[in-house]
Amino acid sequence: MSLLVVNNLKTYFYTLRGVVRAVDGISFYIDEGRAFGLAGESGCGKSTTALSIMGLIKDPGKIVDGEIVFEGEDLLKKTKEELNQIRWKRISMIFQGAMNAFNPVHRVGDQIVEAILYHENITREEAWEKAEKLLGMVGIDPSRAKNYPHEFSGGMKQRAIIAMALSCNPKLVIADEPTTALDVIVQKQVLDLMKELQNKLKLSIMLISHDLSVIAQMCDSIAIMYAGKIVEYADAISLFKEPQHPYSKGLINSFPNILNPGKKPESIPGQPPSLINPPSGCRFHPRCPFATDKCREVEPHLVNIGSKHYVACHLIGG
Amino acid sequence: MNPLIRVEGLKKLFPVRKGLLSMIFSRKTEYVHAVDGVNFSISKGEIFGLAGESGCGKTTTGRLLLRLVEPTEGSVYFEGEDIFSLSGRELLKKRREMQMIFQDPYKSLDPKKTVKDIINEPLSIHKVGKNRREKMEIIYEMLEAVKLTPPEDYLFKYPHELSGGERQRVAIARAIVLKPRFIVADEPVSMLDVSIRASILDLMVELKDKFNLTYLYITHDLSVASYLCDKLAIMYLGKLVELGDTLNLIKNPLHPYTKMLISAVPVPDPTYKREGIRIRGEVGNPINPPPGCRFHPRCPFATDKCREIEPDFNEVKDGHFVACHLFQT
Repeated sequence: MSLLVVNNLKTYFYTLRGVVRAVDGISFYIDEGRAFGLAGESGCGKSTTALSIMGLIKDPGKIVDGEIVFEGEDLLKKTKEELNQIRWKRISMIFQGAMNAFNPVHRVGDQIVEAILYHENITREEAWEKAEKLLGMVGIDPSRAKNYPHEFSGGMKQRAIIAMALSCNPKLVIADEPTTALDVIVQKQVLDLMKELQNKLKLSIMLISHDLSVIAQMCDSIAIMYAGKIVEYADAISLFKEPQHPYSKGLINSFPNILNPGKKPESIPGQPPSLINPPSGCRFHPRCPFATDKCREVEPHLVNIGSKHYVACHLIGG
Repeated sequence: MNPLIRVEGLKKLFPVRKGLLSMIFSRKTEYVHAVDGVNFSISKGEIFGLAGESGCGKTTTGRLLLRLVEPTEGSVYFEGEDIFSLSGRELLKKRREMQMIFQDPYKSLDPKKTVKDIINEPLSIHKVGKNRREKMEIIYEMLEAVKLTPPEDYLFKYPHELSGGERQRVAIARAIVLKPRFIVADEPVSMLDVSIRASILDLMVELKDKFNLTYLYITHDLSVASYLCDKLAIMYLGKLVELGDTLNLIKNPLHPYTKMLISAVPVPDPTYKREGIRIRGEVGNPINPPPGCRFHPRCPFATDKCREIEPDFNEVKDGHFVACHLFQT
């Protein structure tokens, strides 16, 4: 059974300039112990998807349709109190830039303790011990719990954030661009750590990133998002070896590969569209070299083209 | 052939700001060794890549080459002329020949100026163009060169009306409007969306051929450097550790740090399993860099010699330099 099933999720923002359809009918699922990657350019709705799952969409945003089923229960039907019980204990999140969100005047250990005490009924001493154990697990000397955030390097702060996300033994961790601000070497260390913890703790991970190379190395299945919609969804290997949607192909081709330094990356002409007035039909048609009249008028839906490989494109699968 | 830029023994130390008490009780000022004795040269028409992690001194090196900061020691020769010996007026003249493209096009363009004014500013500072009409012609030419066409559509726009890619094109137009010969590009695409990065890099290569430019390309992204740059230098804690032809350096790295850096670069291929070097430790402190080879605390091959003696930057093969005791005879 899938741990998380997102079905036809629509999250809109009602702004003065109009309705921003940030997430417009997306569906995917995450199996237990697996890593799912959500990739796309900035503004395509990746982070809004994560915040919708966490129940953190604030005014003027609103989830207008869909289901988010976690362990068989629809999170959208939960009350605020019930959601508070699920958040962090069963689903936790590593926010983008969270490592800079440590409070500089509190010790790192105290900040992890605070998160634990909010959700678990244990004493402060027990929580402190747990915080030290968590730091040890992410490769930080437990005695450093007494340090203040400025005494940590960027990589250590990000590890401490991961420790905090794991503090209540969640089943699912949503990581939104967890390594974007880090240098390559530190990025590799953090990703290796996440992979190791995923295997050790049987975690499910939802990794959100604009960086396809990071997703390629971390995830079992991948969805490519464009302008609020999933355009292609498949296991990692088929997606990279046999991408079908012109946008997925373009995105993969726009990445340089250090193993193949002679190959020049190619860019996709044009700009991602406005989500207030998205293009009619297929949202990618203004940038698509293969667009036909049908693409300009009729919206394509995700169709299964075999072995759980889904594509939303009129050119493929009819 | 004479190089366009020659850098010799370049050093820049920044004093560490101290609190009042330590100012009273200790006399010693500490310094951040941002750039600590760097030598290289850039040939005409070359794209010279300077790569390293944040804090390694690559941006400071770029700024020194344009004399945007004054060095502690060393020289930078632009066609044989030491730019640090120039007077203010001479330097202003020299600046026409060397320009910079900054990382963040959201911050490097004045939000209160139109595209026309932004590109016009270098022209009026350097008094290029006899009259308004001539200046306008130059601005049109530049907008066409950076593919912001038709130029009339962009002239009176403000930066907030442009996308990230268009802004960076305006920044490039501003950098080339004086027809410089040398451009320092500091991470020009790292703030842009992936799908449009390649088009900006293509444009830079096209302009290089059209206007006979030479680039210093500063980046942390080795996968971009690997296809864009002709030569590549790897920097660690203020020093160059390796320098060579890009393809050769990427395929046959010698210095253990270069190997570690390359093996950490993520690859857009889920079937690829890397062996690579196990990564140890963190970047050292630039205020008190480790003695001997600066990389020795993280190096799996470090010997006593590495801990004590600083390795020279030696040529091991044609044009392939490395600073490592393992490769010195």
